[in-house]
Amino acid sequence: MPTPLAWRNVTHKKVRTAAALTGVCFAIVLMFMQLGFYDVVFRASTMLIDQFAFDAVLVSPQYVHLRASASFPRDRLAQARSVPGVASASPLYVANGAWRNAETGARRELPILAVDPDEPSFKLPALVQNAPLLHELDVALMDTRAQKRYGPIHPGLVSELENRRITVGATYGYGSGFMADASVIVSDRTLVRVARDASRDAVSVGLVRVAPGTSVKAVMAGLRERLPADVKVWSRRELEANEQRFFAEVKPIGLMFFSGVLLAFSVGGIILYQILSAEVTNHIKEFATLMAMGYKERFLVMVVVQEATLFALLGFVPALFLALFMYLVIGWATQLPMVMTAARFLGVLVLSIAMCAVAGLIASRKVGRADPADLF
Amino acid sequence: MWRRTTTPLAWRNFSYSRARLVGSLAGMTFAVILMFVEMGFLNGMYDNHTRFVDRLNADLLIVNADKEAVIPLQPFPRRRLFQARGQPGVAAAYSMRMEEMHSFLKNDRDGSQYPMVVIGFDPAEPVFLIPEVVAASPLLTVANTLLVDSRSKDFYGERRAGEEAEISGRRLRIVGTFPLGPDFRVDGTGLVSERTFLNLFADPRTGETIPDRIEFGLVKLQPGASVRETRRALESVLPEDVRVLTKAEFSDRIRGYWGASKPVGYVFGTGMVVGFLIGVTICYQILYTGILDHLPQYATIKAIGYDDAFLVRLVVEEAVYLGAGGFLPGVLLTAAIYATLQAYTSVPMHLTVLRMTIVFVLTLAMCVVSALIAVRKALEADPADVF
Repeated sequence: MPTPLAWRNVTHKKVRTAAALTGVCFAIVLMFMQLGFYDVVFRASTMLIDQFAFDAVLVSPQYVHLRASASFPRDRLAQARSVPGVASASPLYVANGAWRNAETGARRELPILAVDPDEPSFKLPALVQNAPLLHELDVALMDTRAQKRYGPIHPGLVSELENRRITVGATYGYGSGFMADASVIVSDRTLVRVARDASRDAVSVGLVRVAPGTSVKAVMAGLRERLPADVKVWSRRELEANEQRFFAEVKPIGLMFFSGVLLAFSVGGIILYQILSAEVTNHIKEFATLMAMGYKERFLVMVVVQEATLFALLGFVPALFLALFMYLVIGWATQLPMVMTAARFLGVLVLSIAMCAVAGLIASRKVGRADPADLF
Repeated sequence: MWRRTTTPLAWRNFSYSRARLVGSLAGMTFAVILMFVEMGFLNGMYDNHTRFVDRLNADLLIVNADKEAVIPLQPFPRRRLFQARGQPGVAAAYSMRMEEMHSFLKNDRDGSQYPMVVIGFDPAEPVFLIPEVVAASPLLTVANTLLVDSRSKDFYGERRAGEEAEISGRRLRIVGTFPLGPDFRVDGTGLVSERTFLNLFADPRTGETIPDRIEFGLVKLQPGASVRETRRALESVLPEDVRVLTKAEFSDRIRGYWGASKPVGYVFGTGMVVGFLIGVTICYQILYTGILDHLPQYATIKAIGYDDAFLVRLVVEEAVYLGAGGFLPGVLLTAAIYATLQAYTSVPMHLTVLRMTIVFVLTLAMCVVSALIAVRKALEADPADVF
């Protein structure tokens, strides 16, 4: 085709095209935002456990999620260490406590995570580095990405956890996600001093690391064989999937965000169709003229579909930047991991083009019916 | 000048092409639905968490000074209630205990355990405004009996009267159900008598019951007593560790807590803004295309002697038809979508008059905004150029 007809159509009336492109752009932004939010449900469900190093876990058969974990006897960890391929098996205790906002004195609920400082537990470099501080009693490591309601958090801060004086030995920045608004890490010995019903013998999660070069699957099979039925063995992925399932499928927040995705796609699709069919209608005279000149209907349909694709592409670029900017702003404001993934980028791109093309196809039937005699 | 033409010009412009009209209205309708659903979710989250407070039979609530919402729990000493009972204007002060983190309901079918909020109260006191609870309360006077929220999550297993349940290792008999429903934090709720409650949740260290910790004090006023004065009297005798709040004030606290705690405000706020912007661009596109197609007619109108204000009115009027025409089917579809979403997410989605008014005003605003942008094209129309 010597004349780039679709391109000329798109660029002919600049203001009108700009208006239509704005609509396309917002529809795509809507899809990006809702997908981003839904994705946060999955990322934010595992943020507490993300901070720990493990390839597999031991949990109680009654384990629901990290903050409703039930417990199993600490002896199981010693048994686990004797299984070939197990490099370490460390206890993680999860309790609930009240943190005193050092500024206002108000007590704010948060999960207390406790580890044995003699065992390797952490994955985050800042935690690995500061773990030795936990050897001292009544010292805590704290995440600075806590809500304002928890007051200032900085190294050296002295406040109270469940009415017991606690010193913040070091801080780090990661975020607690959907599980909590803040969190605090202490040693197991500190935990039993602080929490009324905690015991070093009642472990919430056993963090198992396998020796380098060993198959996680084989080690898990070994653990299942060696350990009694009062513990379950899960891979890291299985634990993450369990936490995500709870927030995505059981809690209303996941269901709401998922509904948002469905809504964004149906509304986005309708809007794209509306805009493109209006565009085709606007050019119906030109199309009729082309038909009168002897061009085949198939040629015109091709032009419309090309035009639709151009719209999708031209709308996509600003939409992508707008969405990235909003991810940044909302991620900063909510302290949640709003990130663009390659899969989402490609998925929305392909979908936008497909939606526009389908809309163009439907709308182009009008072109086929265009009768030059009627139009002038 | 002409205030009103005899010919409904805007209406004719709006409705002359049926195909285009349907397309335009569909676009507007979906922008309206988008705003409704996003707003519905935002309000739904708040309603979801204040619902419990609405069901309490109290004129004033006594709560821990740090208490932010129904859950997380923040108990206070029971003697505050004894102090409250003697105050002028106070007819009664009921106590309510709650347990969350140490209370698990075992599903007899598969042995799984899930956390369930358990509330303890004196069955002789009318603590709840839930008819099913009022009717079944006397049954709770028998020890180790339980009323279960029939809308609790399915994983708890059977939730019917006559079934047995196990909470924290103790066997209980379910003697009735009531409808309440889960929220972001709570998956299910059970009601027991105060005595059963104290048996269930002994101090794990000492094994002793902890009668001194209560979660809510529900104050009923004497007939004719003023809420403000009674509250002042209560505040003057009660120490700083508790607050005296109306149900509405406590609900405000809950909204503040959930608004800050979860990103839902941002999520659904963004959705509403995007819905509004989509509406503006669609409306603009429709009006602008309409003006472009009728440029000769607009030029003619100007040539006849109508002024710019007339044209602006014309386009704005058309925009209002567009908005209203998109709003009506939007509301009807929203009602259906709300019902579906409520069943699916258990978040209450109410289509109140206030919320409809807000969306209607937003819809009109987006139409008028886009009309004012689009009309510039018509104002530029020069009869000499057009023909």
